Amino acid sequence: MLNLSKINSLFPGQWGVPGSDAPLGIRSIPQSVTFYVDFDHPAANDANSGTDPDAPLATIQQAVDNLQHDFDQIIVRSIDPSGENVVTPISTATFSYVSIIGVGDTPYSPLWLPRVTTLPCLDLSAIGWNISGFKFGVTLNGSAIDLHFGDVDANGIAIRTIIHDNVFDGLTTGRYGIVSRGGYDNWIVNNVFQNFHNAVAGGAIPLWVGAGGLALPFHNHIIGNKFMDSDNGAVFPCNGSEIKDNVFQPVGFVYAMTLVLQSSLVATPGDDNIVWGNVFPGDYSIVGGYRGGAADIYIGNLATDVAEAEVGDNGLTILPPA
Amino acid sequence: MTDKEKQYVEELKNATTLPELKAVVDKAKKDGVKLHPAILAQAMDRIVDKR
Repeated sequence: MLNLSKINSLFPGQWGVPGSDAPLGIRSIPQSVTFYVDFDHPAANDANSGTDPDAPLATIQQAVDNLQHDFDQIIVRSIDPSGENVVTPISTATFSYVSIIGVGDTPYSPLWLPRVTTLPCLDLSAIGWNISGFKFGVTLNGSAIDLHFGDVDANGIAIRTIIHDNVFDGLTTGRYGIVSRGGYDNWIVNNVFQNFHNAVAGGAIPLWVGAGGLALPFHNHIIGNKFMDSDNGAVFPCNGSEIKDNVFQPVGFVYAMTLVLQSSLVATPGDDNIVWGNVFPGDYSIVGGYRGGAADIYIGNLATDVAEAEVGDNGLTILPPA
Repeated sequence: MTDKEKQYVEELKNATTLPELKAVVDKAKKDGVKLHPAILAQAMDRIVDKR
């Protein structure tokens, strides 16, 4: 274990932020442990303890298996280019509020591919985990992150999850970015979803609510994401959630969205959501790929379709699409 | 809230583990009762925060 040399630091160093360049990283709170994963490091080995960046682990899965406390951190410098399918234990068998932080050479690296393309890169059944800094590459019919909510095991619940500042790239063949089975209080913030294109019926869906969970997502926060150049955008029927500051690109460089934003579906109606401050280009209507719940509030979104009665002359939405 | 809904809300409050809670939710679904997601979240919070 590393000595606690300073507190309240950032990792890695940020230009212009004094003291943020602690070379060995830092624990977020004193009782937590930081594990290092660096597949490309000559000393990388899953037999290491993983607490020394000079003797890191080779896989994220081993770091997940090595966790010791709530609030432990996993710092990931590089990942096996063949990919990894990481599975967390259920919430009663692992720790909560764990961070997995990508710190590659660019803001959106390392690249996290699935080893088995039909399985998620990260299969998450634990509470309060925080995932940031990765570029997820999804191919074929798998997903990048699957957030369980009682669908596989009653104790497998991904609630209070924070997924922020990642790129989810469908690599022109991938189907799903984030699949939520319905957990509540999940935050999906400042991510980019791009290039999701898949030949299966309905095409690819970058942000999707999958079947089998205990309920629809509730009190989720979908904020500041970009949905670009894909078959669909966010098909996310939910209740009491906030969807704001997202940018949708219905017609991309290659692909066009059939469903742009659906906070409610006919088969699984969501409702009571607040949808504001988003950018909604194109046909602002149900036919155009937008759908809200009966009591959703769609107000103050920027829409180009001022011909619709639900859009003011100034381009701001005043009602859900019809 | 109907009597049936009230009954399921009470059962949720009495659940002490997530499998017990899931059993209540599944039973309510089969019974055609839609539970308020906030009540489900409260019941779940109570269980997971007590660990």
